Amino acid sequence: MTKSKAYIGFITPGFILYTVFMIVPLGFAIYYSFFSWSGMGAMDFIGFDNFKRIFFEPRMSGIFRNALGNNFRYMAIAIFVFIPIQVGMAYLIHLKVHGHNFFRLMIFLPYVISPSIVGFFTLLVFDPNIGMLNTLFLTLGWTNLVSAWFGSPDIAFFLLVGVIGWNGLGVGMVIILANMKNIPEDVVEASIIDGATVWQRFWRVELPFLQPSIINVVVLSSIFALTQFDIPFIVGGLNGGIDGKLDFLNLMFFRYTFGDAYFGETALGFGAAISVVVFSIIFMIALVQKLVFNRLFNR
Amino acid sequence: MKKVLVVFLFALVLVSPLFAAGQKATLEGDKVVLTIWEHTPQFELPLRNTLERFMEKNSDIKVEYEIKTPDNYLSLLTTAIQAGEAPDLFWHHGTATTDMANLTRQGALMDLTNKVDVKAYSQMSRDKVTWEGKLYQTPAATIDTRAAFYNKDLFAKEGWKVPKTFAEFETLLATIKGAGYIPLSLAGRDNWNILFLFEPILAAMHPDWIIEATAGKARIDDPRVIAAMEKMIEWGKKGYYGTLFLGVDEAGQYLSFSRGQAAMTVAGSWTTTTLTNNNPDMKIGAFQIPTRDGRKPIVLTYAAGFSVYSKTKYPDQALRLAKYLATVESQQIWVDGLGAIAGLDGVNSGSELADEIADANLELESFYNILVLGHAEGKSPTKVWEEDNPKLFTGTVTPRNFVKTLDSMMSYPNL
Repeated sequence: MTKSKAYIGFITPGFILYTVFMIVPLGFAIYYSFFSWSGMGAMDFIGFDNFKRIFFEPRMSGIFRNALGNNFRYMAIAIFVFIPIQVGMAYLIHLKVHGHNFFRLMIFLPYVISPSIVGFFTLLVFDPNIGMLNTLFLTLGWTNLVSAWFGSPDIAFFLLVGVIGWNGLGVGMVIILANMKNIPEDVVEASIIDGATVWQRFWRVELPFLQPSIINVVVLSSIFALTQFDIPFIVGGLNGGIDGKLDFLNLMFFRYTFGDAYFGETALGFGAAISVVVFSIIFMIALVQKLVFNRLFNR
Repeated sequence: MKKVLVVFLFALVLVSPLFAAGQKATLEGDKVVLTIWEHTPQFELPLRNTLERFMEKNSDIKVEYEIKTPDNYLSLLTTAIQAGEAPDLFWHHGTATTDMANLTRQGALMDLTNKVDVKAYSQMSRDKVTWEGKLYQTPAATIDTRAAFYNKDLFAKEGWKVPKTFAEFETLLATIKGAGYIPLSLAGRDNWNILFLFEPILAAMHPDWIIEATAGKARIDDPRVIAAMEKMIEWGKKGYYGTLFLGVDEAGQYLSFSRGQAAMTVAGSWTTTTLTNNNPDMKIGAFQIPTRDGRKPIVLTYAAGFSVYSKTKYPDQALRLAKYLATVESQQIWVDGLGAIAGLDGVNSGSELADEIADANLELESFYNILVLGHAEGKSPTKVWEEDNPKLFTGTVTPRNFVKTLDSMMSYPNL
C-alpha cells in the first residue's frame, strides 16, 4: 500500500505537467482541425474539409507531398548515412586515436551553437555574390567550383542536409560513445586473444552491444527529421527555398497557419489539421520502428 | 524539514517562469505609457524620431515601440488581439490586404472617423485606411514605389547614360554586362524582390494593361502580362542578374550593388536609407524604367499608418498619438527618416534621391494590388504569386501556366 502511494506521488507532478503541456494542446489541435478559424472571432465547423484540402486539393496536396518527401528523404539520409558516421566517429574516439579529445570537442561543438546562428552563418558562407566560399574559390582561381549553392535546385537540399547534419552529428555520437564505454572489457579482451582483427572485433563483438544506443539514435533522428524547421526556415525562407527543395512539413505548417499563405489570412484551423497529420505520421513511424526493432532484436 | 525545503524549492522552480513573463508597465509615475508596434526594422528610425517629437509635445505620455519582423508580424498581432493584450497602436496593411477587413470584423480597431483629420490626404491614400466608409487607420504621407538605383560614379566612369526608352535600357543592360559588371543585382530567392522587378518591367512594357486592369477591364491571363514575365526571365538567361542570382537573398542583392559588383538594382523606394547606409561613399542615382515611347511610368502604392486598438486602456492618449501621426509635421519627420517620397502637400520628399525616384509622368497601380483588389472570395492569388514567382526562373512554372492559375483565383465583375 505504501509502495503504490510512493509511486503515485513520484509520477504525479510529471504526469500533470505532461498532460497540461502535451496532451491538452494536442486535444485542442485535433478539435481546431475541424474548424475554419483565423484565430479571431467565430469558428466555423467544417468537418473534414481541412484534411480534404491537404490530401486532395491539387495545389495543396502537391505542396504537402513535396514537403513530406523532403522530410522522408532527410530521415533516410539521417538513418543510413549519418548514423554509420556517428558510430564510426564514436568508435575512433573510443579507440583513443591521436587527438581524440580534440576531435570529440570539435564534433560536438556545433551542437551548442543555436540553429539561428548556424542558419545565419550558412547564408554568409554560401551567398553566391558576396559569400566567403565563392569569394575563396574566385581568389584561388577555381571558378568552376563557384555555385549558386542554395539557389541551385540540384544541390540545395543536400547542402541543407549537410549543414543540419554538421550541427547535430555530435549528439548521436555522444550517445553511442557513452554506450561504448559500457561494453564489457573482458569480452573485448577475449576477442583480441582469439585473434580477431579490429574490424571483426567491432562488427562481431562491440556493435551488438551498441544496440540500445543505436535504436535510441534512430528514433531520435527520425523524430528530428520529421520536425525540421529552424535551419530550413532561415536558409530557405518561408516558401521552402528554390523550387520548394527546402520545404518541410513544419515549415508548411507555419506558412499556412501564421503566414496567411493560403486563405489571405491566418488559418489556425487549417494549421491545426496539418499538425494533426504530422503528428499521426510521426506516431505511425515510431510505432513501426518499435515493432521492427522488437522483432529484430527479440525485445 | 529537509523534505519541506526540497518541495518548496521544486515548487519555486516550477512557478518561477511565470514571473519571468512579467507585465508591461502602463503607468510610469504620472505618465501614461502607450505601446506601438511596427512591422519592419526599416521603419524604426522614422518611428523613433516621430515618437520623440510627440513626447516632447505631450509630456504626460510615454510611448514605447516594438519592432517586429514582417514574416510573423500578423500572427503576433492576431495572437495579441485574441489574448486581449494588443498594443495601444499598431501598424497593418490597411486595405492593401485582407488585414483591414479581418480586424474590423473582429472589432479590434477604434473608429477614427471625425476624430483624426485626414482631409489633406489624397483619395488614394485615404482609401488605404478606410473601410465601409469609416476611418480605422492613420494615413501615411509616403508613397512606396520601385526604381532602378544606379551607381553614379560607375556610370560616369564608363560613360553610361540614364536610358530614355525601354530599348535604350535593354542596350544598357547588355553594355554593362559586356564591361564585366552585373547589370541588375537581383535576389532570385526572394519573391518580394522579384515582384519589385516585375512591376516596373510590366509598367514599362505594357502600361495600357495596368490601366485597363485597374479599371477591371483586363484579365491577369493576358498576353501582355505573359510578355512582361517572359522578358524578366529572358534577362535572367542573358545573365543580366549575374549567373548565380537564384541563390541570392535580399541582403545579398543590396550588398552586391553597394559593393560595386552590380551597376544597378531595382528595389523599393523604402530601401534608399539601406542602400545609402551600406556604402555612404557611393553616389546613388535612381530612375524609372522608361516605356518604349519614352514615358516614365511609376508604380505607386500608398503606405498605411497605425490603428488604435479598440480595447486600449487609454483611449484619449492613444487618440492624441493617432492625431499627431496624421499631422504634416509628423509625416515630414517620417519621410525624412526614411528618405522616402512624399505624397502629401506640405511634406517635402526626404532627399534628392527621392526626387529622382519620383521623376515620372505616368502613375500606375501595382500588379500586386491588382491581385489583392480583384481576388475571388476565399482565394488568395497574392499568396500563390508569392510562393511560385521564383519558380519562373527555374522553369518549374511557365508564365502561361502561372497567369492561368492566378487568373482562376480572380473575380472580374466588369468583364
